[in-house]
Amino acid sequence: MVSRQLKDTVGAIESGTQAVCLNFREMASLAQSSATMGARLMDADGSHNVNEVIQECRITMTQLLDRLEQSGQLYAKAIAQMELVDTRVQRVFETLKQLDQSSFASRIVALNAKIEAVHLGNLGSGFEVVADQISNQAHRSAELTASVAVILTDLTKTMQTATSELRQLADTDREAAAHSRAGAEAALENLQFASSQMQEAVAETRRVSETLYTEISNAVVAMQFQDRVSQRIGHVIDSLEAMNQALTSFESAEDISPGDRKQQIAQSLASSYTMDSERRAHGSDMAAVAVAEELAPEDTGDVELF
Amino acid sequence: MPKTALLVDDSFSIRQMLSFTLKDAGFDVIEGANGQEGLTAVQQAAKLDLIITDLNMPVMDGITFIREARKLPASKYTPILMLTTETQAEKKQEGKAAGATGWIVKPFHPAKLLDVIAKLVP
Repeated sequence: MVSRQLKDTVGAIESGTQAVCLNFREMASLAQSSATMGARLMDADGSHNVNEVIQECRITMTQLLDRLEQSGQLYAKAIAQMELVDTRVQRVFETLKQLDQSSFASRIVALNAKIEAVHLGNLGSGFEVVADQISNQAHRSAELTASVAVILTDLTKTMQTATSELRQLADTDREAAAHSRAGAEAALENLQFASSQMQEAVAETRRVSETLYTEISNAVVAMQFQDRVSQRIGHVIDSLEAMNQALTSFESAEDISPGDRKQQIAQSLASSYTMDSERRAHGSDMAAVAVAEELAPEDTGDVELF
Repeated sequence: MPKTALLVDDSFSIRQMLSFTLKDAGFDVIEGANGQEGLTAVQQAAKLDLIITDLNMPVMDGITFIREARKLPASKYTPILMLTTETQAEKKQEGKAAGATGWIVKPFHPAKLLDVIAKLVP
């Protein structure tokens, strides 16, 4: 009856240990998955990590903003060139004004010549023709000057409008570039900060997962007590059955002395032991055998390769 | 191609712990609850890279299992580790004579066991 109780106890321990083992396996798998994911995110496999992506974004945005600034500088150069053209057009206006004054002077000269020709009568008729010619030329010159002035005025107006629009565009772009640069820098800084915090969290998770995995491995070692306990209880069951046989023998056989029988049983038990702790306990006061010795046997995990 | 390990132990929990350790190391695992089941598994396996066996088991013990397994082509040269609570020098000698490659005293530590396996199954 005691043997059966002990066998049931061994079975219960085995079942409990199996359940715990399965739980450990699940926990270890989860811990390992977590550590692997963390490692992947931390760029353990050599692929692009978050820091590299941020750095690439920073470079790309800096290049874009630099190009925007270069465009602004080109605008400024174009505006300066257009202003230079405007200045030169103003000089042309002054020249046209002088031409107009010159035409006016020619017309006055022609008029005076015509008056003098009239005073001379028939002798001055040739001068009168020349004076008319000069007057016509001066008039024609004044018309051309006025025409060029109109064209130049239109051109100047168009150029001033274009310059104004270009300047406005350049100012807007410059402000936008400055604003974009500040915004992009701030966003990248925030991203960098968030990334470093995330990496710290991932690293911590990874450390915890690895620790958990190690702890589970240690627990796997500790759980093997069940095997040793089962074996020892098995040997106790053997002992009980041997004693049962001995008691039965005593009832029927008188040829073996109790002392000899006791020694036979003891030898039989000793040969069934598989652990040093059992052999040490054999024949000793059981209370004197330290439980701790069984829980942490000195030879556990020893490896010998032949 | 994954390596294959055969685990022979009458304790289900020990087989579970071994299986868990070896699968994490990339092994495919097959199991037997005693030496006889172990031999059947060897006969059915196309290739075995590692065998780990207990010593004291019902039906067929570990020493007999190793002796018989060494006669079979699939396990003739396969590393066989004895994983047992037994520490007696005579028993170790018996295991070595039967054809065991190494002797590990229970309880095993997964990392330590994998170190040994890495030496035997590169």
